[in-house]
Amino acid sequence: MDALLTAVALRKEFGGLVAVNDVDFTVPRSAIVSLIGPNGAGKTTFFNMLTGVYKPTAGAVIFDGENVTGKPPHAITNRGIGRTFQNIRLFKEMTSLENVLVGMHGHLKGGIVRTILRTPGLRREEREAREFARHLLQFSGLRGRDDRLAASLPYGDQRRLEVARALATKPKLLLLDEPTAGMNPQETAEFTAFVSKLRTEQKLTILLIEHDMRVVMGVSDRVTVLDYGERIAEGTPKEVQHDPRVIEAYLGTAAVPT
Amino acid sequence: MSEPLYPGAKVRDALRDSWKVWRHKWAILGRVGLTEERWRAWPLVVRRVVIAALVGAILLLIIGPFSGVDASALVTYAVFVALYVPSWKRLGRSGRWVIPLAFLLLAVTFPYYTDKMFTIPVLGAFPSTSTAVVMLIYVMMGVGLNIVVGYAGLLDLGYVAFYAIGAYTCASLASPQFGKTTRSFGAVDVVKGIGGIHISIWLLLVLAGILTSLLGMLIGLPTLRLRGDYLAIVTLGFGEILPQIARNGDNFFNTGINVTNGPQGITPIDGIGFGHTLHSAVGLPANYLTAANSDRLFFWTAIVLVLFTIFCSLRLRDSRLGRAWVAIREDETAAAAMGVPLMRTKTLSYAIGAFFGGVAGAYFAEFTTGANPDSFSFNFSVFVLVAVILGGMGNVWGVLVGAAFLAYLDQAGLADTGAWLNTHLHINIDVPKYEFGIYGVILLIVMLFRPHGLIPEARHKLEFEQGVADEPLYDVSH
Repeated sequence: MDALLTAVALRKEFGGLVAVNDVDFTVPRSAIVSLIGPNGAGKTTFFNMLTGVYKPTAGAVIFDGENVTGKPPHAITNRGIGRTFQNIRLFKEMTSLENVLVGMHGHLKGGIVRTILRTPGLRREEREAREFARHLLQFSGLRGRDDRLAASLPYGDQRRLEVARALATKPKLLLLDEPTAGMNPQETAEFTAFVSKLRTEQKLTILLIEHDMRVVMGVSDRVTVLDYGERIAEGTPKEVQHDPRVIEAYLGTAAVPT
Repeated sequence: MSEPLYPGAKVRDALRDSWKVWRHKWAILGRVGLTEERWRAWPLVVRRVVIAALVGAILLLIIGPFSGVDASALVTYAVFVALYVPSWKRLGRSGRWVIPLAFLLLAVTFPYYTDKMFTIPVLGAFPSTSTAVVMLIYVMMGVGLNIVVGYAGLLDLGYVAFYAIGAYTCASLASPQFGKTTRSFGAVDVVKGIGGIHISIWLLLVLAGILTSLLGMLIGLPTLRLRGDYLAIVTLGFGEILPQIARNGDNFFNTGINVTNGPQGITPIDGIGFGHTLHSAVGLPANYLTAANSDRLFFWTAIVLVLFTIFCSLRLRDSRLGRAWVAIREDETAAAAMGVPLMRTKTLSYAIGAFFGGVAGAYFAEFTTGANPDSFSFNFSVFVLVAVILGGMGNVWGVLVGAAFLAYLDQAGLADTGAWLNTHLHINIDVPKYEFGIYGVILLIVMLFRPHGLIPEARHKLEFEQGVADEPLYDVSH
């Protein structure tokens, strides 16, 4: 299978602590891949290296045939990696629509002079951007919430708004960092359906960090397991579920069937 | 009671409670048959007439004993009623323009009526035209700084540096400062045989803006990588360095190169005007400095500059760039992850803020016909920042009011208040000396009672109306 994203021996050290230890990792095009592991396994650190928030100590990130290692976050986003955050990081004092419009920043062109003159071209661009933003909000199940402040939305809607905002960057690969954290079972089920819809309707490749095993097993094509910064297993959900090293990492040695 | 939104809320509520009248207004009015429902059922115009009458009665009570009600006070009240009572918005698109245009008209005709106006209690007479010019220059600075502090949320404590660069650009390129060379380009009334570079002030206003924004970028590139407090400290440093360069710039590195003329400053500067050809052809003023109505000319030009600043500021606010600034203010990491280039976007806000600071500085130098290092102290940065905070960070109209009011206090209001206090209380206090102490108190009061400023940004207002999701669902303190 053709790989959209490849991480080669990616490594991150914080002082003496090795948070991610030479991890090789591949996301095939139009797949849903999950990254799981106990707390502190280095999943978010790994995410942050892919998106440019952290510079890797060693190794490389190849996205869509291009080496993007160490590029600043906005450059990586504009190449087609969109993301959400583990702790919701919306622009709280902006409306839903404005949040999505910020996501479109890299695809809009208006500079200072054109903005001040408000040229017809710029007006058209702005109008189209708003239309697309409304469309994304509707797609994400936020119809009628356009002018609500992000901070005033209910929790589940904030999660959806984060996805809508990430979609606005027109990503090829969408990174979701624990999207169902704090959701009740019904919200989780809805969100899982939404993730599947993202792949089928938006033709997206999705990389998921997730703790809820029902979500992981339900939607993923491949699962990678990290523990103490090392990759301990990789495979289909079924394979991983029965891997003794995975069971050990989650439940301890006593739980491994002999 | 739910958790207060900010520390002063309790004090504010206590004060509000002490005015029981306001709190129980409906209970009291209900006794005479006026309930809230009945009041709301009245047509809007009737309600407004009642409020206007109440305002009139209160003003009569306040102004009457102090300075007496004269014709000007009555006319002012009539104008207020004419603008407030009819619902202009009902007229549709054209109706929306009535109030802004009325304000513009009042501003433009200001020099004609200011000396005929009534005395404001305590604060004294209306500002003179020359005071109003300085007020407008400060408004321009405030609106410029608002782009950096209000929109992008970058705390800049060295805005005076940009002001100084603008002033010195104008002063050195339109005066006999560089006496060895003689270049003239569009300047008016340059004395024959005098040396120096003399460029038209109109061009210099633009040039000062551009040069300042370039220097703003240069300063911004290393400093804007810092966040929050660190950025404030570094900008503070630049704000101190530039006036020092101005003070010692009469002999750079002992090479004898004199750019800023040291502690004496550069003075005089050429006049601003349209030249004698245009003057005799279409009657435009030839030279503001020698014109009979000098102050008025400076005033009207300043209005044009302020309008331009506000126009640009509003257009930028409602654009891709404006949204990116607010996004950075809210959450830098998230903004970067959404494809906003942090350095470029921040530097742009810095450069645009610097542009208006530079133009304001150049115009100020021209108005006072000189640039002097003593006028560019740290206090000045603080002054403009207080104006922005007082008015309402992020809101152009708030900043306009805040800057105009503080500038008025600085130029005339405090001195008048002092004089009034001294005569009435038979004391002898030099009130303007305590200027910054007074600003401190004003700032404290604003922080306690209106933490988002006099006229808050629309976003903050929405926050109060819609609430935020992380508020407790039930009252925890009971």
